[in-house]
Amino acid sequence: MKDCGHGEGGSTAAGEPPPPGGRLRRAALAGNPNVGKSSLFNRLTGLHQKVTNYPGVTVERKSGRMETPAGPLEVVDLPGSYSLSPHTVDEAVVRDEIRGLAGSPPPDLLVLVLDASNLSRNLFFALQLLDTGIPAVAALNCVDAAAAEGISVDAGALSRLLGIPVVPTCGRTGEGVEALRAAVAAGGAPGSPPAPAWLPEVEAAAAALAAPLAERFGGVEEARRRLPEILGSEGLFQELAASLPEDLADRARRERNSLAARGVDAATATAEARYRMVDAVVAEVVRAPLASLSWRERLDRVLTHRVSGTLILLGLFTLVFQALFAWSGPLMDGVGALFGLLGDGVAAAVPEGLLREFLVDGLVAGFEGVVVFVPQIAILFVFIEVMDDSGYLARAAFLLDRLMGKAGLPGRAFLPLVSGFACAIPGIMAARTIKDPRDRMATIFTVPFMSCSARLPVYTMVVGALFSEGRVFGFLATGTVIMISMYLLGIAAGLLSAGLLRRTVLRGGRSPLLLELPGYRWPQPRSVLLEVGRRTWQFVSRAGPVIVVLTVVLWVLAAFPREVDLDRDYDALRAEAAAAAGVAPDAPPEAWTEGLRAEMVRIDDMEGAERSARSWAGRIGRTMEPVLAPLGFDWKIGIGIVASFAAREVFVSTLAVVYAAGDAGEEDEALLSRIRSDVDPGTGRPVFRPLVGISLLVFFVLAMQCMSTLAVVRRETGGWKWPLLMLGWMTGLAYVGSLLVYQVGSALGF
Amino acid sequence: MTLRATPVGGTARIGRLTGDPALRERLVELGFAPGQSVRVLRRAPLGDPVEVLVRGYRLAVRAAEADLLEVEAAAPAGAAAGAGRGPAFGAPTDV
Repeated sequence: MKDCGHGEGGSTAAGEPPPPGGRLRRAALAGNPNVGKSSLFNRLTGLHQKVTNYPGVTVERKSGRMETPAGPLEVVDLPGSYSLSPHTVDEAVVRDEIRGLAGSPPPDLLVLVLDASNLSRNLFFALQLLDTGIPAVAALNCVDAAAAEGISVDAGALSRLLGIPVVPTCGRTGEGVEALRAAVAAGGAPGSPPAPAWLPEVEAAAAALAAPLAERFGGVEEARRRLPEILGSEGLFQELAASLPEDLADRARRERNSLAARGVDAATATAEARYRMVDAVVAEVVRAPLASLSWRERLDRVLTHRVSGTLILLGLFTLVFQALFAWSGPLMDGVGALFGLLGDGVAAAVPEGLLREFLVDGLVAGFEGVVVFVPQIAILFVFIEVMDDSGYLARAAFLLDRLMGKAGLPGRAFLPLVSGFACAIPGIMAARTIKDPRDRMATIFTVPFMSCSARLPVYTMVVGALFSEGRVFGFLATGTVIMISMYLLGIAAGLLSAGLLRRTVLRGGRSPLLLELPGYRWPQPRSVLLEVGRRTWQFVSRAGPVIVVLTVVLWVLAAFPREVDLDRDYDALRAEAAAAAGVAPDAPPEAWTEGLRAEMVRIDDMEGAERSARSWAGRIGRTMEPVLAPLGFDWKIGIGIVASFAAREVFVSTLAVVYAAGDAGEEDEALLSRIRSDVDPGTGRPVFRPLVGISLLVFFVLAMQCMSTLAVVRRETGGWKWPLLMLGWMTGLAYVGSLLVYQVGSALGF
Repeated sequence: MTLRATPVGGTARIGRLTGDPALRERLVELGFAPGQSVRVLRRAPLGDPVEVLVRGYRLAVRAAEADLLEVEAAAPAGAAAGAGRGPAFGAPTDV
């Protein structure tokens, strides 16, 4: 029975259709999720891989080249799938690729990857695939793991029953890969699986419909032969009904509905029949012990236990957190130092002036802004890949599903959210492990609320300037309490937003959870590193251009216009200072006295502050003042907020310029004391009161101030709808939040 | 009775499936065909989802999905092996 003809002109004959001239023969690796498909793919293709996206969806298409004695072959690693009746986007992609609906003809060869320790469910999909008539070979994978559990599979008998070559393999050690390569090169065989036994009721319904649908199938006999499978499958039947004219579709529906009256579940009859075939095969080829307490089960008892499982989960995520914040520090400092050297090198090579400023403050700073995130992202993806490869990620999802469910999120959303504490971008990319589109969207929407590491310098600065003293309950530092509150505020706002989203835009019940808990495996360093490298490069190539361009744009806003009327003649001030110190006005800095040097820095800072106030960024800040005043922000903070849309941490360095504190960091005493002593000329009160500080913190927790995140969301969701909704919602929430804090606080007299 | 009510450690034989047809088909594809015997391994710390051993592999389903699977409680643990259709894949007794 071949059903590859559902598509237009799909008629892969059982023989070997020679590929049209010029096109490489294409082999597709197909199988259930978690069967070691990818490691076999890596083994077969080495590093000759190409990852693209299937058109219109965010499913990745991995393909590679394999050299064989008969010439090169294109190998495609299809996403893991349980059935050709698709339930997820991934599975729809697999069906389209196999049926040749994806714009290219069906593959010339299928490599069925079967997990030897879990053969029965694996064979279900394999039999479906063999029914397409596409020549196939089977890789009986993980034979070593199966043997360790006492399960043995007779590969010879399996090959005989299915009518295709069966090669025992182990993707982890590479065992059997050469034999598999040879079998693939030989082209496989069309297969001759045992004939399915359809229920007589289904056969009767098929017979009744064969004549009216003869045209659709190209003959009454062909229709009678193919219809039982379709009638007994919800997925296949809906596909057929959608392709029929309305009257025929109605006729088919009526005939199918009558099956229920005869006690047959038409939605599941085909799957049940196929499992009867599977059982017949399994009975002949598998020898398994009746009882076994495997080490996997012992491990599971610990890892999913109410107490130990929860503690281990907390411990692991603390470790991830620690790695992201503490261990990535030296690497990030290294990146900073490297770019510092690069900037110095450029400064030495290019004469002082606009070009040098553009290169150093615009371009080099922009590239630094991209590369500085690479250590955190790489570390994060190492954790994700190891947890995913080892099978732990599914356990974490199992433990957390209920908790995340309260916000309408799936258990798998936990990891992207934790990633969000480092940077929203890898978190949003990690949301790809969530297959349901609505669950995935809700997760992507929640991630940017987590306080990322770019917010931390802002928190540190505000807390350092305003809350460095004082205790709560006598022992907790006020600063610590405020920091923790900000993290909690982000989490609460994110989860509430997700919950709201699931009740409005993404309305509908949670998609069913059918989560396989795969056997534990040792992650393979080679696969992990390949994947981490790929993901990191994805970040650099996707977010990179946006970050660089925005940094340059913000540099332009802050550095132009060049010619402005300044309140004071700073060159005259410099000459005066030099004269007062008894140094010639044109003396080189090396000849300056200690006091003069400090005075010169002070004058430079003052000039910088005035220039930035008169720059376009400064004008935007002043224009925004009426909007920001109700939140307690003046135009200086306004400039900082404008600048922080490139990257939040830019806020600190911008304030340093505006407050004429030179090139200050977030804990620089000069900056902090200037911020503290800044007085509003109108009211005579300090600009940075504690209430303003809280209002500012709330704004930074909630606002969507990261253009790179928006750019990545656009790439991941394929349009502007979601990024714009995110920008509007988060920034609106931030405005209202800060407004409430400042107005209520002011009314209460703070 | 549905799978939801099956106690941890208990074995049950799947009867009728209810709910949305597409979901019924997927449940059977994953191994929950009528007559198949499955075993409830554990519940998550918050009581949901539940981990089930079916056809020799482990699958977590929420209570909402477990409720779609009507079951007949099979013999207590120990006598259930072989009750499934897959030889030796029904429910390893001592897991």
